[in-house]
Amino acid sequence: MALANFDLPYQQRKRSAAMTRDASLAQNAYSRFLAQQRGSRDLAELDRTKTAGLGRMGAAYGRRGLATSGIFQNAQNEYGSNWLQQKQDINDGLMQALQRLEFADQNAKNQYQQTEADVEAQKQSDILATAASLQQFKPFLGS
Amino acid sequence: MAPPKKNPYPRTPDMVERGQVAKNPTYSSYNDFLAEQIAKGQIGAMDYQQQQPPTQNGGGGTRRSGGGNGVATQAIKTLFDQYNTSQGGDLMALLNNYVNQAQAAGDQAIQNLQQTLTGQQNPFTGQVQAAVVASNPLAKYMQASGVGSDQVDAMQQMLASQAAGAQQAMQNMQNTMSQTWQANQQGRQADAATQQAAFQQALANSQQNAQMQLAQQEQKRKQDLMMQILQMAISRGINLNSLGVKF
Repeated sequence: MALANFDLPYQQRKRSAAMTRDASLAQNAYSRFLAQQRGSRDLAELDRTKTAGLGRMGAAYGRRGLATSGIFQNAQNEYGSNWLQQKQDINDGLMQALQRLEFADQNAKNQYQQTEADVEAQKQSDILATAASLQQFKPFLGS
Repeated sequence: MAPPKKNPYPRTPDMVERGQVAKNPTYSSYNDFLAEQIAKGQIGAMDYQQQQPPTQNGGGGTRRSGGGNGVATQAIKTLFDQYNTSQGGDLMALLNNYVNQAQAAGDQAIQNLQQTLTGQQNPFTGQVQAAVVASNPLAKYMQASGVGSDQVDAMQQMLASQAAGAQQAMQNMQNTMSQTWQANQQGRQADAATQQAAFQQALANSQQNAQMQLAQQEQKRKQDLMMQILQMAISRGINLNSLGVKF
């Protein structure tokens, strides 16, 4: 029994599993890059529009002589809360996307490890069964 | 013209064989030739019963081949030598050799699996990245305006709390996966150990079976030889005790 030939189908399965894992990791890395890019762009756009809106809001209240009023103070809190929430939504969205991708990475690695362990266990089982049967000795027993 | 007279003294088989021996320089004697043929199993003991030429009164019958007892004796001794020479010893040594090889191959396979398992790292370990919590974007503006930021601060606290909760939930899920992975790994290790024990038992069983079959083969070989010896001795009227053979 040539060990190299014996090992060949198992190595093929492991290589195939490794390729699937690497493809997943590469895809996840690309998705991670896109998510970060999109998150940064969304944050920048939010800050830009909100900053521009802040000036208009202050001017509008000033024209009406309400610059020091409680209404304007309340409006600032509303505006600030809204801005904050939108920023946090973008942050959370990005964070969750990154976490999902991290988890996808872990799953891909885990999937490979399970396949690797399965293949090794199958190989071990086959070797043990072959060895324990004393297959090479059987011709001498007329069987 | 009268038909040719039938030869009352045809050549007997041993006469024919003697002729072959005379033509073949390989055999130094007729006994050698016979012994080899017997050893090869090409001549059975009963072949030595030869037809006696017809007597004057027309009778016929079998006779023990004259002078053949020496040949038969030699053949019996050859068979007896084979009887006493065990052929199982070499096979038993070969079997032990294969058992040792099988043991080594099995140990190596188990070691490889264990190395693979211990070499794997839990992919679910590690801390989930801390949540990013946005700060009040109007903090400086409101501060400069002398505006209190209670409402925004309350919102920030709530968002921070939610983000921390989401982070913890993710961490919990990962911890669960990590523990599951660990348990799975321990199960695999236990399986490997079980397989190792089963392998030892199966190998021992196979070895025992092979030994028994070899012993049976050897026993049958000896029985066949014994049968051949006895047939030859009986057919030739040879007393085995006189040959000094002991079974």
